[in-house]
Formats: sequence, C-alpha cells, structure tokens
Amino acid sequence: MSEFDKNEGLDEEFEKNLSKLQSKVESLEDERLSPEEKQEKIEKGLLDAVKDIDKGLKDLNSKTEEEANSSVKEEVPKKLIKDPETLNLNNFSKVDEMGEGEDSPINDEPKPVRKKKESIFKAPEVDPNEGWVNDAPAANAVQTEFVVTNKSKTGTIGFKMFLAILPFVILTLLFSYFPLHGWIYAFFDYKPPIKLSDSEFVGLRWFKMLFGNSVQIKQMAQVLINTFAMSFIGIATSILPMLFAVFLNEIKSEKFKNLIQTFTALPNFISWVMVYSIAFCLFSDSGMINTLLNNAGIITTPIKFLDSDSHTYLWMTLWSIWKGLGWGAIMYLAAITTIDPELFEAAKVEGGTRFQLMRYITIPSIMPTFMVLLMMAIANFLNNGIDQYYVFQNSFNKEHIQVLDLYVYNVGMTGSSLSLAAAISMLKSIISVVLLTMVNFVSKKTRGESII
Amino acid sequence: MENTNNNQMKNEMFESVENSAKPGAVIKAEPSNIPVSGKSKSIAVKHKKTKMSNIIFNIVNITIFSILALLCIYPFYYMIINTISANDLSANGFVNFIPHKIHFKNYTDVMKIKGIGTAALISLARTLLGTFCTVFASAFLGYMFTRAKLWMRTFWYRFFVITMYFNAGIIPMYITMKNLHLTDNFLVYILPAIVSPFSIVLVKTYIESIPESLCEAAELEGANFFEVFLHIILPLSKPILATVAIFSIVGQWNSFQDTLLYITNQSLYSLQYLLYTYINQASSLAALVHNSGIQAAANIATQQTPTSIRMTVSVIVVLPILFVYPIFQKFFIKGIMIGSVKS
Repeated sequence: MSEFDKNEGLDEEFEKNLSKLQSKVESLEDERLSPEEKQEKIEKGLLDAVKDIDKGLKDLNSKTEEEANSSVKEEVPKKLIKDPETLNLNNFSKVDEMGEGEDSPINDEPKPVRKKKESIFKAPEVDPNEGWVNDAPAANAVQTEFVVTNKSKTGTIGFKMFLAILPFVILTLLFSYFPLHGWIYAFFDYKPPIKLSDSEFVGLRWFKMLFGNSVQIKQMAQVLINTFAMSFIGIATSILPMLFAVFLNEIKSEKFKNLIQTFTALPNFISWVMVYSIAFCLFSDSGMINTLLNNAGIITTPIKFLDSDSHTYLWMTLWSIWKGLGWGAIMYLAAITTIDPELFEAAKVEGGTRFQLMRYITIPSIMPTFMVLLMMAIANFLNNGIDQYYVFQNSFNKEHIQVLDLYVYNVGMTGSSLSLAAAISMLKSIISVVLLTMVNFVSKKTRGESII
Repeated sequence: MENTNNNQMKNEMFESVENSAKPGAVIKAEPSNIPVSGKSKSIAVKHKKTKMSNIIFNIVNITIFSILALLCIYPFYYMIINTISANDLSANGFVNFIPHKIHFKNYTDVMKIKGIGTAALISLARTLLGTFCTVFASAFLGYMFTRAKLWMRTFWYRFFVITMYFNAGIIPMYITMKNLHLTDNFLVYILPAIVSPFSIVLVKTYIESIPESLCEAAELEGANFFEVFLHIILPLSKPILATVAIFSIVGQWNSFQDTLLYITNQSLYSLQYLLYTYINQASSLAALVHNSGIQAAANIATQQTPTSIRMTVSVIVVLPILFVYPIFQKFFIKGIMIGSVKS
C-alpha cells in the first residue's frame, strides 16, 4: 500500500467520524428542544422540501416551454402553440417549407425528415420516473417539435446570422473589393469629365509610357530609389524599438517605466500634419532652433532645415523614429512580459550577468515578434504611405522625398493623367501582393507558420 | 540628430558595461572556491565591480530614457507655453521653459477665424460617429465569427480579413468614391472606416477567451444571438472594445488623407486639413487675421503673428489626443498584449 492510499484511507475515516460527530451534535440539540419546537422544525423542513420540489418542477417546465418557444418563435405564428396537435402537424410542413425555401440552396445539411413522434421523442426517456413530463402533453409536443427542427434550425439561424452581417459584407465589397475595378482605367485614356465608356481604349500605352522615354525613365528610377531607400532605412532601424524595449525592461521601477512608456508612445498618436506642425515650430526660419542660435549669435541667417534637399532621407527617418519608437517598443514589451520569470531566476542563480540575461534570454524570446514585424515590413516595401511625405514635401526636396505613393498622387490628382496614375497604382498593388505572398512563403518555410 | 547620438551612446555603454561585467563569468566558473581567502577577496572585489557597473549602467540607462521621454514630450510643452505667453516674447524666442505673462487671447482670437468652428465640428462628428460605428461593427462581427452556426463562417471571415493585405491604390479608390457620389460628402469619413479587419481580429480573439458555456446557457434560456451579443458579449468585452475605440478615435481625429483626396468643399474640411493649409499659408495668415477683424482689438503685447496662430491651431488639434491618451493607455497596452499573443 502506498503512502498516498494510506492517506486516503485516513481521510475517509476522518470524514466518517466527523459526520458521526455532527449527527450526534444535532441529536443532542434536538433533545434540548421542547416537543412543540421539534414539531415545528420537522414541519418546516417538510415544507421546505416540498417547496424545493415544486420550484424544480416549475423550472423544468418553463425551461422546456421556453426552449420550444425559442425554436417556434420565428417559424410559427404564436396562436399555434395553444393546440399541441395542430402545432405539431403545422410545424412539420412549415419546417419543410423553410428547408426548401431558404436552406437548400445554401446549406449542405440534410433536409429535415418527417419522423415518427416516438422515435425522436427523447426527453422523457432521460427521466422516466418523473411523472411531470408524462402529465404534460403540451410540453411533449413542443419538445418533439424542438427536436425535429433542430437540424434545419441551425441552418436557418445560420442564415439569419449571415443576414445580420450582410450590411458589413456589402460595405467591404464596396470599399475593398469594388475599387479594384478602377484598374481598368489604366487601359483607357480617361479624362475625368468624359465618361469611361466614351474614353479611348489604349491598351498598354500607359505601362509602356512609364519606361518609354529617358526623362520618364529617369524620374521613375528616382522615385523607385527614394521608395527603396526609405523602406530600407525603415527596416534597418526597426531594430531600435526592440533595443528600446530590452533596455527599458532593465529599469526596475515600474512607475518610471510606465512614465517613460507613456511619454515616448505619445507621438504615435498625433497625425503627420501635427508632426509637420511641430517640425515647423522647431526648425522653420522663425522656429525655436533658428531663434536660439540667432540670439546666441552663432548664426546670422537662419539655417534651412525644412526648405532644403540636404539629408532628406535622414530627416524623414528621424521623424518616423521620433513618432514610432515608443509605440513600436510596446509590442516587444508585451512579448517580454510573457517570458517565464523562472528563466531569469535560474540564470541569475547560475551567475549570469545582466547582459548575459539580455543576450541569451530576453532577445531570443522576442525574436519571433521581431521576425513577424520584419516580414510585414518587407511585404510593405512599396507601401510607404502618403501622409508623411506629402506634408513634408516642398519644391526644394521634391526630388528625394517623392516615394511611389506620393508620386501616384502627384501624377493622378494634381498632374497630368489619372489613367497613368492608375497604371502605376495597379503595378504597385500587384507587386505588393507578390511580395507578401513570397514573404509568407519564406515565413512558412523558415518559421513553420504563415504571417497572414 | 539626438536620436542617433543616443544610439551611439547606447552602443558604447553596451560595450563598456559588457567588458566590466566579465567578472561575473569568473564567479560562475569557480563557485566552489569561496572558502579560500585570497580568492574570496578577489571575488568580493569583483562583486563590487559588478555592482558598480550595474549602478553605472542603471544611471546611464535611466538618463538616456529620460532624454528620450523629454524629446517626445517637450515639443508639445513648448507649443503650449508659447501659445499662452505674450506673443512678442514668444516670437523672439524668450519662452522656452516657463510661460511668461500668461493670457488666452490667442485661443479666443483663433476661435473667431472663419472655418475653424465648422472644421472642429466636422472633426468631432466624424470621430464620435465613426468610432461608434467601428466599435459596434467590430464587436458584432468579431462575435459573429465566433458562432459556429454562422453560414459559411470561415469563408466570410477570410473575406473580411484578407482585405488587410491588399488595396486597390489611391487612384482607383478615388474613382470609386467619385462613382459612388461620396466625394464632397460627409459619409466618406464614416462608411469606409466602419469595417476594420484588424479590430475584428482583435475582438474575435478576445471573445474566444470568454467561456462558450455562458452563451450556451443564455441560448437555452431562449435568447437569440443578438440578445446574447447585447447582454453577454458586449459587457464582457469592454477592455478590448476600449482598445478598438482608442484606435478608432485616434485614427478618425488624425485622418488627413481622406480630406485631401475626396473633399474640395471647404465646409467639410477637417481640423487636420485646415491646420495643414494654415501651416502652408504662413504668409497669408496675417491677412486672414486682418479679414476676421481681430487686429483692430489687438494691442502690441498680444498681437497676432502667423506663428502664434499656427501654434494655437496646433494645440487645439492635439489637445483632445493629449486628454484621451492617458485614459485609454492601460486599455490599449492590454489590447496589444492580446494581439501579440495571437500573432
């Protein structure tokens, strides 16, 4: 006999003794009571028991009725419920109608089959000793109906649920799928007031034109270089939020940590217009930096920070780091909190130093998050967005700030041709999807899970 | 600039502390030699060194993070103190740390500029209405996609989520909006934003963590799926809905591109777009003020300058975010954690 079993035996014995003692105490108490009190107590107990039983019965009854109602509610007019027989018959035909009308084209579940009452009448068999079920024919009938419609009910309710989300499906169709039809404008010579049907079909003219003459090629090349440079710098600096999180995690004071997190994540929540406004406040001719330098006598003519094309890539990168660093770190901080603290404890006991802990525990643990974000960044290589570059662009830095998205906007909305812009738009979207698929494939191969 | 400096500092610090941290490795290699007096002494010294390097590391670390936090927060502070300080002082760069001669005339004056009131109303309306719609839609769709009974559930879920990964591009979008007669229409701010696949995924992941038996029990009681959603799911998923709400509020309030693309009617401009036009029209701002008739009442101390107007509008634009942000901060960190657990 094992230690454990012995213990169990002891436990049992203990419990037995306990219950004995309890009953003894009760009987002693009873003896102390007068006969009248005893009588009262027994009566009260009996009453309570009866009440309990009554309540249970009521609950069960109402529940069955509710169930039945809920299944009947949408399918049968209310008055039918009064008569169990008609209810039954009518319901069978009703259910069949529903099945054919709504379910069959969309649902591969079998249609409800008319079955004999007894074969599907399961509820009473569960508890044959309880009289109440047999005493209530209405409940029986309703119960039967419930079982029969159960299968088709799933389908109908499922379809009803679909009808409930249909408005959102339509919205998505309109604003995510339907715009794809805009790609056909890339094959026409579309000039806005004229309808598409009256426009001339030009085939691949716009695509050829993109690389047609040397001026166009040069411009396109510059735009692509800008796009690639910004994206590449963006990916290269995506390690900063990770380092930020790792080093912030080394701060022991929770309050200070939260404060830093709150402050550094704040710029992420303002728009690029606002960022530009701040840049203007600090770096314009009459901005803070120039005024300070001027007052200190270091410069006499204001330095052109914004209205120049020097270090455009660097400036853009700095602004996106300023805006995104703290927020980007939150993802990693969340990942760090999921690391098992015992891992750190064990490493500390082994004499691991702070940097060893960071190097061998923290960083490897958040590597998966980094990889996912890296893959997403690569998939979005061509999608720099338009906001940042649009607000910072001016006639001085146009050459180096114009990324693909901005170029599309400039060509299509302010420039020459909507159709040419649509062509570039289309090429960009297709290349993006191809990139995403490739990255996803690589992710599946290397990490064993897809990023989509 | 300072950012790169910080990173350099970080790297240098990293190397230096790593070097001084090596004694720790020695301890690890010979843990059983403590009784030997000479060695224990050296170990004690090394312990001290490790402690010292730890302290240095902490100081450097905290300093760098304080500087980073300051860099993020100071521009906002700078703008606010300059808008409430006497304009002649702020124009000459004397207001950098503490506000001088506090007044709020800039704000009352800016409010009188034509267009700002309408723009603020438009921004407020789109934020409130858009957020309500997005939160409701995300909650409802997120819930529906957890119900197994939903007809062709997997297909519709993919149908929604896949839209995260492609878009038609700016120009086809513009053409679509034009064809749908949504250009120069307030609804263009609301309708496209209602279905947000990212929020749907967030909410769905969260709702999946709610015990299924709760919904089943309610269904047994006779509640239909919408009642279950209203009375059980909605109250239980408040944290994630708050996260979705903050994303939506920030997104709607900050949105600039849709005004740029689809709106030409000035009475539908959002505050962000108005701010952008103001920054770009620095020189014509003085004229704007003249036309509004503010100049007549202005004395020399509170005279409007283009810079002061720009800054005041900026503060008005950013203030709601500054207010909303701390309230929701705890929520969205929670939400992101859920999201990161998912991915």
